[in-house]
Formats: sequence, structure tokens, C-alpha cells
Amino acid sequence: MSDEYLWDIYPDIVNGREPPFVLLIPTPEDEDHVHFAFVEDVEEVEEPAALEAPDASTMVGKHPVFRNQAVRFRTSGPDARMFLDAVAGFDQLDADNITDAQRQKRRAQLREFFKKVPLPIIDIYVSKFDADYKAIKQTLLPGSWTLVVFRDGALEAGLRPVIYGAPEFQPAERIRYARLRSLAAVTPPVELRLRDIFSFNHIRDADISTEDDGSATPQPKPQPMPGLDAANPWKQTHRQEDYAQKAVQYQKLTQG
Amino acid sequence: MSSERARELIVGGDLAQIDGFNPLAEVESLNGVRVYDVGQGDSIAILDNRDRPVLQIDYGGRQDSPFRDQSSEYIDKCMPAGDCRLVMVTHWDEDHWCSAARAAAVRGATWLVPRQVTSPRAVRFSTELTDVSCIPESRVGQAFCFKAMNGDEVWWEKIAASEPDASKHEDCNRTGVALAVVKRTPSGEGTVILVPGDAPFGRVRYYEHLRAQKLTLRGLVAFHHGSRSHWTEATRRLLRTWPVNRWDVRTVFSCSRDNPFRHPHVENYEEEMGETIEIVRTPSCRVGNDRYIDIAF
Repeated sequence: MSDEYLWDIYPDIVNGREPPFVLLIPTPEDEDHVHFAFVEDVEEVEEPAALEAPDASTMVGKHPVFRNQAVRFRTSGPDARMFLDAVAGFDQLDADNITDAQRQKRRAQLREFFKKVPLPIIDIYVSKFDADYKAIKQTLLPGSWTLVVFRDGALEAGLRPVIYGAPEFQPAERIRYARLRSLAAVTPPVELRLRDIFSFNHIRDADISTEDDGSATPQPKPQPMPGLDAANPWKQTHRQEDYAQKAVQYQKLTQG
Repeated sequence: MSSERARELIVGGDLAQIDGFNPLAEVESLNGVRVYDVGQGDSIAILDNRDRPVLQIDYGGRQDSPFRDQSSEYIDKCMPAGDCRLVMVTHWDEDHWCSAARAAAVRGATWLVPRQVTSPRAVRFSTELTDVSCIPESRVGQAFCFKAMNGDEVWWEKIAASEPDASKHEDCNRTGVALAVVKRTPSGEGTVILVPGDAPFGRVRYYEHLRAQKLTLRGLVAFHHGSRSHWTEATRRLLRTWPVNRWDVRTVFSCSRDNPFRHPHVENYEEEMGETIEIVRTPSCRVGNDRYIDIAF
């Protein structure tokens, strides 16, 4: 694994600092899978005899974790190296000010990217009795991005099982077994790009016009959430700036 | 004073047009709702007076999907959404859209979707749609209404703002779109069918307004496939106090026969609504040619 690659995803390692791992491991090795993973859903498994496999088939969970209140963290996302290789090709968009031409370009870029880069579903199973369960749960929050490192192999006792694949893959690739090696926070510059690229920025807002037929009184408008622009709650300007600032600060810190 | 109080209760949704059209503008009237058997997930059509789908809500189904090894033509035939004027997605969990990734006709329709923080797989699917737009976040919390020619209504609302901040927990079930179908009589009475997606009933503000209008609850699609998560007092109270006719509330659970979460938890509904409900599970209709359950007015 080259230093250049590590610099992109683990600059702290390169600088001799302790990386922001949730589960500490040695440096990822060549046989490890390293993915940026988006957490779609977190739910306790109540019926291990009817697990939903990544290819949407039903399978029986035989690993000991399923006898110990297993929680399924359903994630999906691209191989980290493939994403980092492609990221420079995407223009960064300002979510509040996107032209039709930019949307069309982004959509075309995404379609090209998705032709080349597979997106496996990566199900991570962790027992509620696992010593690291709380830390893992705090890391794998629904709607968040995390760096997930896992390695192929049979589902052995004592290891946290990962089942990955997707229905659209070749038959032999639709369900594969692995063990979780580590979870790490995504660095702010990378997170900024993940959240921009894997968004609906390529889709315009609908023009929703209304007419009052006289029978209705207006509903109270919702109060904007703290930090949101009342006129355009999606804007969230300061948060975008926060991300950008964090990214710059992070670069300075890691380069210093 | 009293008239002002009365007016406060009569709160209605804004009559809406999407990009200049009302998807029900040429629909004579509405017959009800059709819940397709898709395994674990949702795919629901709103039917016109000739039982034709005119508005499609979600197009999903993952575990135990009957379409697992079927062609796109077969999916199109079983869930004919190609002629719908509009397809709406309640939220972006994969079991609410994934059959559309393998079908053909539905992807050519006009789609109206919530802008949410979502998976790259959902983003990939969205790039395959040719005519798609997002509900503006500035419209969050506002109830809208499409009206058929006879006055039948489809209500919808994006119920909460999406949360793009990584430090905040976003459960997209609770920032999605919830719908209701209403048929009113000339005397002002009426009946309603609730289609909340994965959002708990208590999260949908305009449901309370519909209940307060004394519309009789004709049926509902259980939220989140009959999950017991987010089963709050607000949801309990809403179901407990909604006017009903005995034995007449058709309650549909759209889920797979086997699933890791032991959906559906029908006991929650039985506890709140007692003998008023007729419970129907989508796996029960996986025989014969009609693999769906209708809730008719």
C-alpha cells in the first residue's frame, strides 16, 4: 500500500500521529478491502434464521453473533482508492447555486463513474454485548460516512462478521463473507467530497405552485432548524463553510 | 369568536401543481389504493374510478421479492406505473425504489422525490431517471393536495428537513413524504386512507387535521412494514381516536413473509384499534395472478 494512497485516507499515519480509528489495527494490508461506506440503516436482528443478504435473498445466520443480540449496520459505498482516483474529475458544486449545465455535467460524470465503480452493500454485524459496541454504534450513525476495512474469509467465532455483495453483481460475487478489520473517521476534506458527489445536487428542485380554493386556511410554516436559512433550509451555509474551513485547517495540521 | 375557532380547525392543504401540472387533473375520481406484493418494501398505486393506477408511490421490494429473477417486462406488467402522471418516492431506503432499477416503463415517468442524505446506490439509481425533480426543502412541513375532477384528494407532505450534517443522526424514514387519499361526500363527510411510508403516523402533522375533520378511517398501510420502532404515544393516540366504522379499517402490512426484524408487529395495531381493523399481509396474496391488496373506498 503506497504512502500516496495512505496520505489521502490516513494522513495521520504518515505524520506519525495516532489515526482516528474506532477499532485500532495495523496499517491496512493489500488483501484488505477499504471502502468509504454510507450508513443507510441500523436495526437489531430479531430473527437470525431470516437474514436479508446483500443480494436480497434470505439466509440463515449461523455465526455466534446472531445468538447475542446482533445489530445490523447496513452500509454501502465505493472502494476508497477508486473514489480517490476519480474525485478530481468532479467539479465541486455549491448546493445553493447550481446551474442547469452544472447539473447535467454532474449527472453525466456520475453515470460514467458508476459504470466503472461497483457499489456493494456492506452489512456489518455486531453484538450488543461486544466490548466496542457503543463506540461502533456512535461511529456508524445513519446518514454518516465511515472508512470501513474488512478482509475476506469465513465467518469465524470471535470476529465481527461482514457480509457484502449486491443483486446486480455476477452470481459468485452477490454474497461474500468477510471480517471487520477497522472503522475510521473520514477526514473532513474527503467527507466534503463524498457528501457533494453522492448527493442529489444533479437534480433540480420541482416548481411547486399552489392555488388557494378558498376552503383552506394556511398551515403554520415550520420553524427552521437552528443553523438553517429560513428562506432556504437546504442552504445551510454555515455548515458548508464549516466543512470547507475544517478541510483547510486539517490540511495545514497534517502538513505541519 | 366561535367562527374563528371553527376556522382554525378547518386547515387544508394547498392545491398544488408540479411544474405546471396537476397529476389528477384528468382523473374523474379515485377508487382507492393498491398495495403490491413486493416482499419486504413498498410499492403502492392510487387507483382511478376504473381501477387504473394514476399515481405511483414507491416502487420497491427487496427481500423475498417476487421479481427476483424476472424480466423488466414482467415487472412492468405486474406493476404498471408507466401511464401514471407522477411517481413519488416517500424516502430513499432501497426497499422503496429498487424494483424500479430493474423495471423499464416506470423510469420513463415523471418522478417527484425528497431531497435527503442518502446512499450512493440511491444516487446511482436517480441518475437513470430522465424526468426527476426534488421537493424543495423550503416546502418542508407544508401539506399539499392534488384534486381529481370530482374533488377527491391526494394529500402529501415532506414531513421534516433533511439533515446533511454528519454530526447529526438522520433517519430518513422521518424526513420523508407521507400521503393520504380522501373521498368526500357532498354533505362534507368523507373517508380517508393513510399511506405514511416509513414515517410513524404521529409525525405527520396534517393527519391530525384530517382526523379533526372527522373523516372516517377506511384503511391504512402500516408504517415501516409493521415495525414496532418509533411506536410513540402520538401515533397511538391518533389511531385510537380516529373515527372508524366497526370491522371496516383495512390495515395492510407490506412486508416479506420472513425477515430479520419479525415484521409485522400487528399487535400494536390490534391494541390501539381493537376489533375495528381487518388485518391483511401482502405475502398472503402471493397466489394467482393478482398479487396486490386493494383498499377501496
